[in-house]
Amino acid sequence: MIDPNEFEVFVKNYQDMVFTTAIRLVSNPADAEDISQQVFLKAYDHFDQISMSGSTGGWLKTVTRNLCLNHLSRYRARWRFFSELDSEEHGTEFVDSLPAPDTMDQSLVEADYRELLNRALLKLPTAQRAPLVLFHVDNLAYEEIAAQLGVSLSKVKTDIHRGRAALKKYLTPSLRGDERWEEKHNESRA
Amino acid sequence: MNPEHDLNELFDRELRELPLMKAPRSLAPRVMAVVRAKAAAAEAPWWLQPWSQWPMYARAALFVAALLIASLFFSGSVVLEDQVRNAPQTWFSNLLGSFAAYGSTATLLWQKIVQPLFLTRLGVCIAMYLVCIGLVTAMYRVGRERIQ
Repeated sequence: MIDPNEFEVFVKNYQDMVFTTAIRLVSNPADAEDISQQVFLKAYDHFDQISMSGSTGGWLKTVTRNLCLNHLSRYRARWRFFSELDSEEHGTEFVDSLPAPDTMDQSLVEADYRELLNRALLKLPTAQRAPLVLFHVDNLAYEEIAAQLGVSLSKVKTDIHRGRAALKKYLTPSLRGDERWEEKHNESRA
Repeated sequence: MNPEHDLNELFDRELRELPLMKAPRSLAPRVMAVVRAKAAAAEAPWWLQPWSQWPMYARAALFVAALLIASLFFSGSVVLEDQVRNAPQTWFSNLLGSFAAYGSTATLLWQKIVQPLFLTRLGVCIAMYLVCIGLVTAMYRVGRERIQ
């Protein structure tokens, strides 16, 4: 019998990690909260094994990622359609449709640029955000991402490339002259 | 250095180092409400729990009983009705008589109305469903192209 109080401590310890993993894939806070709830309910059903193992965080991340991908697959046809419409039929890039950073964003010049990066990431269309997160954050290979998302390898590469370009284009005006950004970019060129 | 490679490395590092976001305050209470409800349900006697969590023997017994009742209801009701008609009047024979009468009615309705039309109706429903999907898809695509 699982002690609910013990489980509540567990939830509070891991809720930020689970929620962050979910929202970076699905971008919608309400969906991310629903998915996080499902993850913890699965964790409750397997709590005896999870609490004994040393890879609780890994287990939670994997379950969260799988539930998010299931969630996204329900809308896959839609976002694949949008992605193809944006990039192939009309010859436009998502990055061109992103609004210029508004006054609220400009006021964040002084704020941590990671906050901006986080916000820019959540603004990316799912077709670009999901593979970008799986590649850079979850460290999956292109082939694994293609298999998980059920798309071709070339599409994964294209979407990741476009996602990076969109992030860069979105961030640059806000951070132009920001020494931390320049420093980071120069560091990576060195 | 290749600028694409620079950008790749930069995002690789920066995205990995992004701080965790705060979960909504409502998340933990929502989870715990379901967990406490589950814990309470688990302590309830088996017959108050969902059917899927009943012991195997109880599920099997209920399944057999349901099959018996259904077969009696649909096929044995006419025979039962005859037997009840000839039996002495008691509360039990009255109950069986009502049961047999409802069974006969249901069997008759099934054979004369539902069964002949069932396949036709099913076909019509499937065709209408496909037409709806086709229309909505066409409207969605046309609307989306106009927005673009």
